[in-house]
Amino acid sequence: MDWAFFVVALLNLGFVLGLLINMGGMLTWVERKQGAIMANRIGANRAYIPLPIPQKGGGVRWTRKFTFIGLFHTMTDGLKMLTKEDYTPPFVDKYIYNVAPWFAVIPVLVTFAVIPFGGPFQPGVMMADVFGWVGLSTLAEGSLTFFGERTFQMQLADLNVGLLFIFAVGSTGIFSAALAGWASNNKYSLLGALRASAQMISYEVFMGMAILGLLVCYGTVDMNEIAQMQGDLWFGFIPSWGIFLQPHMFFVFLVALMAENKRVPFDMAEAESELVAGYFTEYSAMKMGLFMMSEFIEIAIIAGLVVALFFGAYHVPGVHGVGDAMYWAAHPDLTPANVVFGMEVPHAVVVMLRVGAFLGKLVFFCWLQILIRWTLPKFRYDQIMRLGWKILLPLSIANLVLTALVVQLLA
Amino acid sequence: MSDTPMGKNPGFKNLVEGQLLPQPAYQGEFTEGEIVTYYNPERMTWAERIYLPAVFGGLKITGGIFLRNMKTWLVWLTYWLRGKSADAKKGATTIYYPHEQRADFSPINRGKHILTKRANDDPQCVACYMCATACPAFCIHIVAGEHPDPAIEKYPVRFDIEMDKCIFCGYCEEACPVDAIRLTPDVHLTDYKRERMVYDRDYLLSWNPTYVEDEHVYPGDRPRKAD
Repeated sequence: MDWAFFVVALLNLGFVLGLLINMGGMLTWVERKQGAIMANRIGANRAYIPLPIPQKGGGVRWTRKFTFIGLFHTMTDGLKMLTKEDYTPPFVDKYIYNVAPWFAVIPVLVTFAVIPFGGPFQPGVMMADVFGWVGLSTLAEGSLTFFGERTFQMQLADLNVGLLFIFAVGSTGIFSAALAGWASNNKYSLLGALRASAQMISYEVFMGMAILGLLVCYGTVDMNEIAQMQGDLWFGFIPSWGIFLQPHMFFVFLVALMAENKRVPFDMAEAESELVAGYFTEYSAMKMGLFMMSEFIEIAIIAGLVVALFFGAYHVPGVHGVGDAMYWAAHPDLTPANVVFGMEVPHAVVVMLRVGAFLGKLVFFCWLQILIRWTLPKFRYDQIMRLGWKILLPLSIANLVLTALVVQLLA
Repeated sequence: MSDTPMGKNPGFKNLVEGQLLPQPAYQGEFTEGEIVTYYNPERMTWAERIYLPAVFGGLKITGGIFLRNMKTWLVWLTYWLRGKSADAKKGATTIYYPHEQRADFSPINRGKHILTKRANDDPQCVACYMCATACPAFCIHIVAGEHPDPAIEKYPVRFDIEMDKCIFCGYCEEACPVDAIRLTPDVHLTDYKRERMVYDRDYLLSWNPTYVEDEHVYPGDRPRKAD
C-alpha cells in the first residue's frame, strides 16, 4: 500500500473537512455580525466563557466578560440545535423525512473534493523545512525519508472530470428540497419545494452554460489543470486568471451559484414572509440545522469554486513552487525552484503563502456573498424566472458562441 | 405641460421636451362600445431593468458603511490595547444594557412606584381606594385596616401593585389626596417570575430615600418649606 499517499490524503481530508465544517459554523456568526455592522448595530456579542482571574488578596474571581467579539455564538448555536427537542410530526413520511437533510449536507461537503486549495506540494521537503526550523532534526529526517521528494496535490480528488463532478454532485442538492417538501406533508413545504426545484433546475442550466466559455479557453475540465493554468502572467503583468478572460461571465456565474444556494436575493424556496420556512417548515432541532448548515457551507463552496475558476485558485502572482509542472514547461529557460518574486525560498513558505492566499480569497468571496445577502431585496418569483431564462441564459449561450469563434480564429 | 394634471406628477419630471408624452387615457367623448385602455408608461430605463447599476450602487452604500464601521472598530481596538477604551469613539450607539445604563432619563419619567412615609415610618396612605379606582389597568389592590389614630382612620393592610399589568399612566399619583403614591424615574423592572412582579406594601415602602435628596426629582415635587 502507498502509505505516503494515504497519509497525504488523510491530511487533505482533515484540512477540507475542518475548513468546511468550521466555515459552516463561523459563517452563521459572520452573517449576524456583518449584517449588524452594515446596519450600524453591534450584533451577536453576548455568549461568553467565564475566565478565572486571580485576585490580589488570594482567591479567584470568575469574570463573565470573555465574549471574544461574540465568536462563542457559533458554539452556542450548535449546542442549542443539538439539545433541542427533535420533533417529528405524526403526519410525515418518516423515512423520506429523515433522509432529506442528508441529501442537503452530503452533496455540499462532497463538492469541495475537486477544488484545489493549495496546489502541488512536497510534504517531505515541507515538513523537513518546518521541523528543521523548530529544531526537531530527527522528525525532519524521518518525514524526508517517509515522503521522499514526491509531489502531491493539495486537493482531495484529482479527477480529470473535475468540474463535471461538481455539477453532477451539486445538482443532487435538489433532492433535499424536493424530498423534504414532499415528505413533510405540508402545503407550505410543498410550495417551497416546488419553487426550490424550479429555481435550481433553471439556474443549473446556465450555470453550466456560463462556465462553458471559460472551459473553451482552458480546454479542460480538470480543476487541477485549470488552477495550474492560472499561475502565469500575460504580457508580464496581468495574472492569467479566469476573471481577465471572461469578466462578464463571472457575474453570471456568481448569480447562478447564489441562486443555487437559495439565499436572500433568490430565497423563493424559503420566503419566510410567504411560506413560513419553505421546504423545511416541519423540521426541528439538528435536522433543520443540517439544512441551515448546508446553506452556510455552500457559501464557502461557492467562494471556493469562484476562486478556483476565476481568481487563480491558490495562485499569488510571482509565487511559483517546484511542482508547478505547467509553469516550468511554459518557461523552459527557467529551472524549477521555489520562487517568491525571483527570490528562492524554502518550499514551506511557498505552500503557506498559497494556502493563505486561497483562504484569503475564499473569505473575501464569503464576505461578498453575505454583503449581497444583506443588501439586496428579494426578487419576485417571475422576476427570477425572467432573469434566468430570458436574460442570463441567452447571454451565456451568446458568450459561448463568441468565445468558441474567437478561440477558433486565434488557434 | 405643467398645467395638465400630468405635469404635476413628479414621475414625469425627467421627460425630455419633445418626447412622446404618455397620453391621458380619457380624451374627449367616449363612443359606444369603445374600450378605453389605461396603461402605466414604462418608466424604467434599460440600465434600470438589468438591475446591475442599482445592485452595485446598493453594494457600494452597504459596503461603505461596513468598512467605515470596521475602521471605527480598529481605531477603538488601538485605544483598547492601550487600556483607554473609554476615550475612543463608539461605532454603534447601542447601549450594552446591564453594564451600561442610560443616565439621562427625564426626572419626570414615570417608572417604578413608591409609597411615601410619615415621620414615624408609617405609610402615608390612608387606604381611600382612589388610586385603585383611577387605575385604568386595574393593577392596584388595597386591603384597608383601621388605624389606631382616629384622625387618620384607615391604613393599608395590603397594598399590591401588579407591575406587569401597570401601564405607567400616573393616574394613581394624580388621584392620591395625600401624596402617598409616587412614580419614580426607575425603569429597571425585571424579574424571572411573574409572581414576583406583584410588588407588595413593604417593598413599595422600602424605596431608596437617597433619590429625594435632589430637588425636582419627582413630578410636582417642589422644595417645600418645613411645616
